[in-house]
Amino acid sequence: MIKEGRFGFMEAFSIMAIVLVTKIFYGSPMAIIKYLGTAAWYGTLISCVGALIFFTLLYLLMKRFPQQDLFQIFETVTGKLIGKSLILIFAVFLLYKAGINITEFTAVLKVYSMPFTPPSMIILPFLIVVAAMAYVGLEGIVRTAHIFFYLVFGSLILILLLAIPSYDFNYLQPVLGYGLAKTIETGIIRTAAYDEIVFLAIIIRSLQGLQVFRKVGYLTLILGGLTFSVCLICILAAFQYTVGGEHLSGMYQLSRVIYFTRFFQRIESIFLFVWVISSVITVAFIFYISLNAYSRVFNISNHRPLILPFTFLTFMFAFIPNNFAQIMEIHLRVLREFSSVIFIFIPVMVLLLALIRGKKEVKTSGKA
Amino acid sequence: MFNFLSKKLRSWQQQNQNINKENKENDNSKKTKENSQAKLSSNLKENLDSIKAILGVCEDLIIREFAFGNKGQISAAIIFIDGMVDRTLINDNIIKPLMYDNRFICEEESLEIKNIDIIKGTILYVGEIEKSTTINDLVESCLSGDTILLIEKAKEALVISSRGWETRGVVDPETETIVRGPREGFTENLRTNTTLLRRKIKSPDFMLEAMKIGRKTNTAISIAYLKGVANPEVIEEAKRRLKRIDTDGILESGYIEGFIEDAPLSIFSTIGNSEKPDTVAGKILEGRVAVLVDGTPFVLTFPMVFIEGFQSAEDYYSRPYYASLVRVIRFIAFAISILAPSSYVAATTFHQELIPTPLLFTVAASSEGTPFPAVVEVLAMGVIFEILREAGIRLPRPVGQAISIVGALVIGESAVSAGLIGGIVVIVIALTAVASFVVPAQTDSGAILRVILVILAGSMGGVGIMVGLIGILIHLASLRSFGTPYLSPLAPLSPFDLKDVFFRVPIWAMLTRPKSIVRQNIQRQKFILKPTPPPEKKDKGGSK
Repeated sequence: MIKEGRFGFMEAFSIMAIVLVTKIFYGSPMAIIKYLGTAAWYGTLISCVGALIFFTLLYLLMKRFPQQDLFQIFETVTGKLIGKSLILIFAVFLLYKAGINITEFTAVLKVYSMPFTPPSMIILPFLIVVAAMAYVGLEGIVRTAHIFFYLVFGSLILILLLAIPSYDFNYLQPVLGYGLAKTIETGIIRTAAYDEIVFLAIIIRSLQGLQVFRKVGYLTLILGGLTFSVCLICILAAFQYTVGGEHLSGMYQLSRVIYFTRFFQRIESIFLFVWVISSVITVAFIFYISLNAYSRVFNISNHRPLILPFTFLTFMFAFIPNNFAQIMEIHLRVLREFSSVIFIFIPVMVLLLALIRGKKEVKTSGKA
Repeated sequence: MFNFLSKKLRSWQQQNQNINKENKENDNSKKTKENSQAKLSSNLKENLDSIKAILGVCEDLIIREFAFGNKGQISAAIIFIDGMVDRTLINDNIIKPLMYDNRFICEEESLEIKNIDIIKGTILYVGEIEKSTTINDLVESCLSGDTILLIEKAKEALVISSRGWETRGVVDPETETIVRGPREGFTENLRTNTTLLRRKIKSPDFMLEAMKIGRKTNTAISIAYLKGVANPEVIEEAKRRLKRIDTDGILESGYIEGFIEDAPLSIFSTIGNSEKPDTVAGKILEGRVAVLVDGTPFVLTFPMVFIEGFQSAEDYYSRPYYASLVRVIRFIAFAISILAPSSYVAATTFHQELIPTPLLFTVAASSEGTPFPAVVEVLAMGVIFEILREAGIRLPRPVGQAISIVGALVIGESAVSAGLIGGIVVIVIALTAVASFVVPAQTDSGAILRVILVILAGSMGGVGIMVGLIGILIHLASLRSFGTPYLSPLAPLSPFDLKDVFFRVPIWAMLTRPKSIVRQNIQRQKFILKPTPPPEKKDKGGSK
């Protein structure tokens, strides 16, 4: 078994918050504004409520098996063969997710900051750091996330505050967007945008108990939902929904409109660098969990020898999309809408199966 | 690749272990051979010959043969190394009592003067005397500065403590100068150093454990800690790592550091060092363990955390507000020292939009006509600065000043006026140089990080800097020093210990020792120690 170390509430909260919120810096606001128009800001809150319901189900599942993590529960409930197959699906999909996240990051970087740099030159050093982080292990990733948590969220708040002069809240009308039904429907489908919360169940044994798991889960989902919603309000108020749906990175555009005297202008690049940090942390975390999952399937005790081949595979996944349109229309839809089939549907099915088959962890004496 | 490297490393370690084993076996076999022959005989001449045979023709070995007793009937000899002993002590407290005083004290027949215990107990005026029966022990003691007294027909010898070589005085340490606080620094003498610590911590719980390391140098070291406060696991681990050292010589505490540190391949040191007794005493009181090494004024302390480099003893002697301000300035200076050159390269090469327009014109004007790209300019100036720094340190002081003038005026000014480098680059490098000396503990690691970040900035701009910074941080997050996470109390977060990180709370509010280091006896002082003036007495009569 891979030694993952232990960490506290703040560390777990930081990593989950960064993983959930990073997508706000890239194409996610554009997509949701395109689908929901002026209703995007509360459409994401509907997704958040959906994610909270899912997390409650996940918590019920984890509560039935307090000594086990999600992957162990898969094996306990569904048996070794199916359990391992499910873990393998997780491993492959996570690797794909890591690759596409890198591509999305590279595309935004190329458009806004480094137009002449070849994508491979951006991806390679990015992946080297991701591999180094995976080599160090979960404890190192989480500690790094905790240190950068304040920087990432601080810069986010700063952008929203500094861009206040550009806001016109009349742009939020019509409040119902393209219709309430469509908003609710899209909101529910896009619950998948918050499905990274399932990672918390995978690393649960590094947390200090089920109570910390519950607290971190609910708080990060609420923080993520509010952050998304506030950011979308600001983007809509600054650019109106027609223009807001065209920006590759709404937050970057928001940082571009900041203007305080002649000296403090065009400071958007500073924020771009902060987003690099959150992207690296997010990809490293997903990459590590993918490695972990694969190691579990084949009972590999040390994940480090796998880092190099997995880095290569991630590099390959990153090159699947041919252009940015493909990233937006196919791959990000898979990640932010249909990934719920894997990250939400499977755990819920496992919970149902555990309830039907009456599977529950047998408490041993002296252990909770 | 990692697997291959780790396999290589393992096989190399295995080979090394085998060599060590062979060395040990050889040494052991030699030792046992010697030991078997090394018992003292009752013949003085034989004993002296054995010692001479081991020490060879040493010009500093003094063997003084003499006779004592009422009629000088007992032959004896004292042996010592010239220069390592206190000659006055030998003359007045060893030779004089034996040759002169005891003629009046004892009558010939009443005292069995050959009895070594009587000599030890009644004749010699020395505080520390031990008996020994083996030649090897005598040779070792003699080489450490003790005096050996051999007596005819005695199968035991006396090892008399008479160490007294020339040492440097207790002076203000050059590497840690302060405005307010004690002006004493450790010296090269181990005993002086332990005394300096003992004078600070006059507690029976203050422990000093002796050890000798180095097959040839036999360097004495002392492990110092506060019993009941220092983590016993750390103490045991320290002893285990120290005992593991099997080398021919230890000439400085840096050798020990290299052998016992947690991350030997890291550019960051996971073991602290200090020249100041008050700093080391402070760390011991916080629950750290110190290792004092004979022959060096630098005392090692561990567990070490990253933020220790930003703390100074003076922070605790001055008022908390100013201490906190200085602490923040140190963090800023460290950030400037590693990020200023790379940020300049990134901004001028990739992100010109980051520079405000008026400033951009100035930067463009200064670098116009220079033949090299920004990254080459910065790297070249960085290398020149490091050369000047090294030259300034190694050369005698008057020449060092000349070097500074050459560096500042000739190279800097001339290079700009010749159009080789931009004026802003000189400013950036100068600022970096000044900032790098604000945090001495990270000066060497900072120099390496600077170069790495400049190269990354030159190739990938700001993204490169960010990628580099994350790499550095993830490395820092993975480090441990004797079980303590290197980034604590920041990560893992220990809110109580933040009282002494970015700011320093008043002394009366420092209630606990660092929780990441100490497992027991965490409470340091009473809860309510905030000074409060006595309530004003009501003047019943009032002023009239």
